[in-house]
Amino acid sequence: MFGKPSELKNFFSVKSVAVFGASRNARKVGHIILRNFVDSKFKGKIYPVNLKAKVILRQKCVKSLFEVNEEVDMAVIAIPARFVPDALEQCGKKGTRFVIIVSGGFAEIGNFELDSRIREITEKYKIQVIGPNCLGIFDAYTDFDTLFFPRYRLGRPDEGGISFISQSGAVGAAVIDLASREGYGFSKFISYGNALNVDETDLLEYLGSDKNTKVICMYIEGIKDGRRFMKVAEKVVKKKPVVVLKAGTTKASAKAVSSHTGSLAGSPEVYSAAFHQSGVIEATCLEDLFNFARTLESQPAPKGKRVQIITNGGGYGILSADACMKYGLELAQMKAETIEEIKKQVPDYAVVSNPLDLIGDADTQRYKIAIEGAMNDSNVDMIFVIILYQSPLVTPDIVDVITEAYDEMKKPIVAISTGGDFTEVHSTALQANGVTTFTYVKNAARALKMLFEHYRKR
Amino acid sequence: MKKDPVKMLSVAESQKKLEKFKVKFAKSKTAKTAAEAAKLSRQIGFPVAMKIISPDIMHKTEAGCIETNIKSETQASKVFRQIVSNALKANKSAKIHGVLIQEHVNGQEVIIGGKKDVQFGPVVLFGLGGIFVEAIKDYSIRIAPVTPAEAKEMIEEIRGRKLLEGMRGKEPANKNALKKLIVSVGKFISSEENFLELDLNPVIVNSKEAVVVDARIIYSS
Repeated sequence: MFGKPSELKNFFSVKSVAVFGASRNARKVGHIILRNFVDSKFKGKIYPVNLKAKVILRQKCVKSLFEVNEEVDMAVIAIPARFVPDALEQCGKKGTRFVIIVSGGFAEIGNFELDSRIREITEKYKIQVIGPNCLGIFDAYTDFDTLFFPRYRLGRPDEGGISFISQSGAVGAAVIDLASREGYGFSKFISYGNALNVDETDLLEYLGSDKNTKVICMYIEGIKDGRRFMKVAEKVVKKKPVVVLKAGTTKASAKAVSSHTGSLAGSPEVYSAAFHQSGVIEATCLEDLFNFARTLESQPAPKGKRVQIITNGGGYGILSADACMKYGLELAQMKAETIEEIKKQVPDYAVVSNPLDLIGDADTQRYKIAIEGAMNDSNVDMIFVIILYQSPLVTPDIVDVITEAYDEMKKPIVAISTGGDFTEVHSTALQANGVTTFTYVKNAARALKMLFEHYRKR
Repeated sequence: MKKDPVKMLSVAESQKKLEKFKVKFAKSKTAKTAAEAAKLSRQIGFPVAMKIISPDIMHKTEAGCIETNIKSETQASKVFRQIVSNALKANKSAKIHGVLIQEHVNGQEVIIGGKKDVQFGPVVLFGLGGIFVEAIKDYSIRIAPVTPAEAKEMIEEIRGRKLLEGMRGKEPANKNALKKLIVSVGKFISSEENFLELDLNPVIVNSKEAVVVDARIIYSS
């Protein structure tokens, strides 16, 4: 890129935006982008660029940027590839330095000629480009986005600490939609496609200094300059965790990578080594990426990897113990005085060990006793609370008990519940309070092992 | 795709370069005649290994140009003649620079490799020798140069690490020497211009030291 990565913040603070390809046809990408601006909290000026239409969505159209008298901070280009050079020329002459090219049809389909033409124009006018072949950006704090997905189809998540850089638009969009349904907070989302002159490393560096971003997630298919990425990542991870999902790690998928965004997939082992050496956390699937990010965002640093399992179902406790061992955690051994203290307060048929089985008739009070015991025992580094809401004695105030323990921020505590709608309601309530919840214990074990490894290296 | 022309260094040339980075090689000498082979073998000390020195014989084992466990002067002269004759059988116009006579070092075979990655530049590879790297892909990789801590991780990361800890009555390998060797290789490949590939195979590691037995370095020219 031309300037400093910190200049990328300008993409998120524009006061005026032009939309090339704004259309009256509600199914067209340009129309949806325009509509999303109009429907959002965005207070700035909007200029639809359209040769024929006079007004679209109550916004007065212009035939070209030259008709606009005031400055245009940013342009979103969503027109067929062959018209993109002309639109860029307009931006250049007008002084618009921040452009998102949504259109595809460049390097990713082998059209290198068109690719170098737009490259020349951006270099001539020093235009920072996100894309082409991308979704652009989304900011949960300002409700500003260039995504060409209608809001009723793709929910926008609430404000939070997770930011997501994605080479692929679809992967990013799906995660955003999921996050919005599950109630996880987001800061910024940037889909950068072919990375004409703003690449993954520039974006990483920028988000590293973005104050709303607490955790950075990345979905990448290839890295342009590996050494530069490592150097920047080493600096950023000192400030906030970075989780990466690298796609194209098998022979079959590596081929698909080059035809997707025109990048080289490279050797997966070398990528893993580079991530490891620069302190970046590697996720091996989308599920991990998502789980790791929300765990990192909300959980405190663990002192070790000894887990205390608290459950109201014996079988579920054993499954949890298996998962802990399988994914590299250990089972904690609570102190004798803690065990004695808990035993005094729970029925004698409860198994005060690890797993700590409170038995199927456990009520919220029994959970409270067990959680407090584990929380105050220095032999316990993290707590898995398994709640099978199917049992009628578990009352909704269990949400408060777990939230209170979590709010102390003394050690990681996660809630694991598998079940149907009734269970889901409680998990969502916990999640809304900031507590990390899991449906399957495998994911909890993987996420907490990651958390342990991450802070161990600090 | 057109392949770039490459330049491959001989063992002796590789040794000269790597010794500047404190990489230790097995003691070796070059014999030009059978009589010299006998004399030099005795000087190095039995048993020794012998190997053809020729840029024109690629697969030395298959061509019968490597022999190990040579225990006497008579055997050394005989093996010398055999190896040279086998080399000419494999390639009758092969240029032969002599026969390398090398001390036999006991211990665990490991491999240390290096290559230039398209995105990340020089990377170091470590694995157990023999079948382990190729057949079961048991190796670790780091971007070069590597810190001593990273080299240690590389050793601890492989699945077959127990073989270095002295299984079945074998003495444990000197992991510290191995670690230092990995660090040296990382430094070396990071500082070489036009570096493409390096192969230290095998490296023998025992309780005392880590010694390179064979080496190959490739540069883009």
